[in-house]
Amino acid sequence: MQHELPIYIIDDEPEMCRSLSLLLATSGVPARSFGSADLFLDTLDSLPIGVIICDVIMPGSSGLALVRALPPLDRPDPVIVIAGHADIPLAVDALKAGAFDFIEKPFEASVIGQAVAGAKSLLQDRMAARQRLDALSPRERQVLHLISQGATSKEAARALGISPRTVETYRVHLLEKTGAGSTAELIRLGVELDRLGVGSLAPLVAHQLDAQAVH
Amino acid sequence: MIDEDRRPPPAARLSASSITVAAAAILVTWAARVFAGVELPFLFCLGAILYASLNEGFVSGLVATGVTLTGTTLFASPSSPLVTGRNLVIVTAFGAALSITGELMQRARRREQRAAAHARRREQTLQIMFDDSPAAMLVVDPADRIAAVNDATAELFGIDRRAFAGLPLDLFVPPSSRNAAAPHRSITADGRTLHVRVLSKPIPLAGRAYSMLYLRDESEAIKAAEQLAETQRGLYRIARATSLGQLGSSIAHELNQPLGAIANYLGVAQALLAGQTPQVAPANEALGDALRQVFRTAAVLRKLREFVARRPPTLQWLDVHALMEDVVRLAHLAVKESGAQFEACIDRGAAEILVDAVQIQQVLLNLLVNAAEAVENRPSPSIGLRSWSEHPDTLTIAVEDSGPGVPLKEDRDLFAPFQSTKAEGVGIGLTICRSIVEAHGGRIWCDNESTLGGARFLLSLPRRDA
Repeated sequence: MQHELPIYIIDDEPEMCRSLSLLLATSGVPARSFGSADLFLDTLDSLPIGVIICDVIMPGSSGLALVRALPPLDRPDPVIVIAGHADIPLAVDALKAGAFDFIEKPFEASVIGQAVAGAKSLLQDRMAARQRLDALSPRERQVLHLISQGATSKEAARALGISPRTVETYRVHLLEKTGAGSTAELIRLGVELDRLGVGSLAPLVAHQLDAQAVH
Repeated sequence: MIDEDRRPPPAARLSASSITVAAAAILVTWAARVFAGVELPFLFCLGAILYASLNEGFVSGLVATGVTLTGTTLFASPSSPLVTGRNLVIVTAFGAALSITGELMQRARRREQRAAAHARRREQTLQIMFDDSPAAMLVVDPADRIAAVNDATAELFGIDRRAFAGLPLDLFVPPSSRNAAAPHRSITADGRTLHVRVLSKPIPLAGRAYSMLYLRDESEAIKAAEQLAETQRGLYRIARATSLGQLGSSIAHELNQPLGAIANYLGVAQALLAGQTPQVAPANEALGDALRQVFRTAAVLRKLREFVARRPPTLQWLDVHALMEDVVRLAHLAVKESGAQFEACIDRGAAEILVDAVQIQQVLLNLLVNAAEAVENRPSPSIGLRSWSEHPDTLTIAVEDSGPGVPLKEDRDLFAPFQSTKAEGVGIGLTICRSIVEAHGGRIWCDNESTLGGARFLLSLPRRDA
């Protein structure tokens, strides 16, 4: 995962886009600018996964709307929200909506640099986790979900209608398959699985129902 | 004065001195006969009667007549040939006549005394009234020189009262200010500014045309009016600052935007210069970019400062377009955060309006902020700013929104103070708007006939073709 992740700057202020992309370019991070969140969302399908730096108040969709729009579109891109004016409610809203970071303008080069680096490593973690999750069967995902929710093997077994011993077997499989070094890491993966949201879980449930119908 | 009045009338008075004088007259008559051998039976009696009647009036005179004649007849000169019944009757009649004369003279003298006292009292009263009157008064001779002033005048001008006598009136108030409609403004010797209204009344004195001037000091009232106007200006200013406060986050955004760009450009320059091989040319370019943003920030700040600066209101004929462009810029600030669609439609005709730019911006900003609040949390919010001229001499500006509209009731004045419908509103925004617009000779009103579906506030202002 060492290839360069793209950076997207979304701000209705052209000077902000220009100065920020210059700034990122000097630290060797090329960026692409968009004048509004709507413009960005329109072209999103053709854009590779990257780190988004986004203003809050813009004509059309706001920055927070963009943050909320990404997970349903199955995009793991972390969003750094940069605000012309920062107050606590706005910051709380942004982070609750799922923003990776919240920075007030003006900011120092090091601050945005660190945020971008942090977002990149998060994104890499997420993508690695996804890769590992992609390898799991639906049943394995269900077990992982329940374990990460804090369920014991017995509880998971009861929920899935299988024996606790089978759950234990799944747990060992999961550790092997994902390469997780510990149960803690496994749980982190489970959280990531949940973050991917309904879009990813819905087919699992459907699959389970199908399976029950067959039996 | 008052004691004299209370004395009993002399006719009813009989003092010991009259009796004593009468007794003395008898004694002298007796002494003249015994020691000098001269018979003067009535001479001293008449003297005593005269004394008594002149001094104490009729009763006293009659008593003196009775006492002296009885004394003369029985004791002082009983054997004189002059003391006959006929002579006694004559002298008695004469004594009575003297008594009446004395009484009359006494009364005349008393009347005279009373009149003099009365005149003296009147003069004193008038003098006290003139001297102590709280109204400033001057007596001016026919040549417009000051004859007399009272204490109030002396105090008004801060000059000793005696110093006024003989000075020309012009030194204090010009002749033209007499009975003038407006108060006259003058500066006193100690540097105070006075506003006095001058009323003049002719008073003929000893056949010459003197006049009495009454000066009414209206300085306090004028000062109060000026203070009121100053307070009102202060209120307007606070209201402007408040409406900017309502835009607080938009303004922060407006300023942080260029500041953010500046920080970025400077960061770029720093990075370019910090490397092993400093890249001077691109760094220089980034510094130039930063500088341009600095000026942009300064311009934003200047506009805001102008808006809240303390300054006297000035009505000027200003170009409508330039003014409306500034208003549209302010409007973007007001509307931005509400997320509303903003549409400006400005009359394209070249025109000028007679306004104080800042005050009209204040009115429109207030209406726009209200509109932004009205459309908050409503589906497809939109706000419009339009201007047109129905007459060549009026420009109408409308601020309209897609909000719920304003409840218009006949009995409720929307623009009256303290009528807010907002939870945190004080209710002076529209009141201030109205007083500003009316001070411009314009009109402000509200209907709900917006094409956007909500409230529409309109104001008309004097206009002329440019």
